[in-house]
Amino acid sequence: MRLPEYSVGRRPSQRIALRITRGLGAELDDVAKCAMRRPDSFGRPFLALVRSALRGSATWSAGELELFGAVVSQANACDFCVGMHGEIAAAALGARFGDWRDGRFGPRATAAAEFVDALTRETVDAGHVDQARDEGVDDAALAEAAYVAFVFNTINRVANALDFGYRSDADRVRGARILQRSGYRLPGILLR
Amino acid sequence: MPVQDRLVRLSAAADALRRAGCARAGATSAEPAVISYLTKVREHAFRVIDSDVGALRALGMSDDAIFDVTVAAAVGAADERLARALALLDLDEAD
Repeated sequence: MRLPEYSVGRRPSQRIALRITRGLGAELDDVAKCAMRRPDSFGRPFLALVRSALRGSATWSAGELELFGAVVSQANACDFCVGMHGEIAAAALGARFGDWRDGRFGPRATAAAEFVDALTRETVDAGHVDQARDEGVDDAALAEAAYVAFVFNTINRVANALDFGYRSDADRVRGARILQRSGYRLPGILLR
Repeated sequence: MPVQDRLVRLSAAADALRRAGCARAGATSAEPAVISYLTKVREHAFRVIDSDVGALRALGMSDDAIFDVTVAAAVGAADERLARALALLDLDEAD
């Protein structure tokens, strides 16, 4: 993390929460630290968007939405987000993230993943939309995937520019489990 | 939730982030180090290195100021891609 002030809490309650977390052998991830440091101007609106984009779809499962996030993160070379969201997608969908283009996540999800991948790389065209439609993905479902891409095209850049990371691979896996369980909610006391 | 209602909700949530302080902060500086940093964040953020951020700090920018310009540049790049997607899908955010 390239912003040292963001590694410590801004308010006493936040510093205590960080100490307790560390005492338990864990570490709040760098996105959460930024959200905590800037609750009004970043944390609350960003986490609300994340929850809206990654949960609550009637079209896509939570695992598929996480897959789209991991695909965008891979296109942006954001190892931090690939590590976290590839892990969540793999756990939810029962297949390793890795070479997602081989169709291991099914034709619909793969076509939508191709769409967000091309969108991120700025190579997207009507052919990607037609390909997805041919696989039974309607335009509203692709729009949902595009909002996932919006989330990750934002946070991948922030994470890469500011060098977000994990202390260890165990922290990464534990963080992924916590995010999956908590549904991207931080305790309110940390976002004041 | 019907998908159209979900898209309205997503549009509102994206707009809330755009209107939030960090995303609106933007950089008004014409300093080469700032312009170079913002270009990197938009186009290939994985190439940012410690000295890029160090150069901003040398201009007197605080951690908060650096965070703001980073978020603003990132949201801008993400927004361009979202607009492209919605245009291809013949949707706009009012739908």
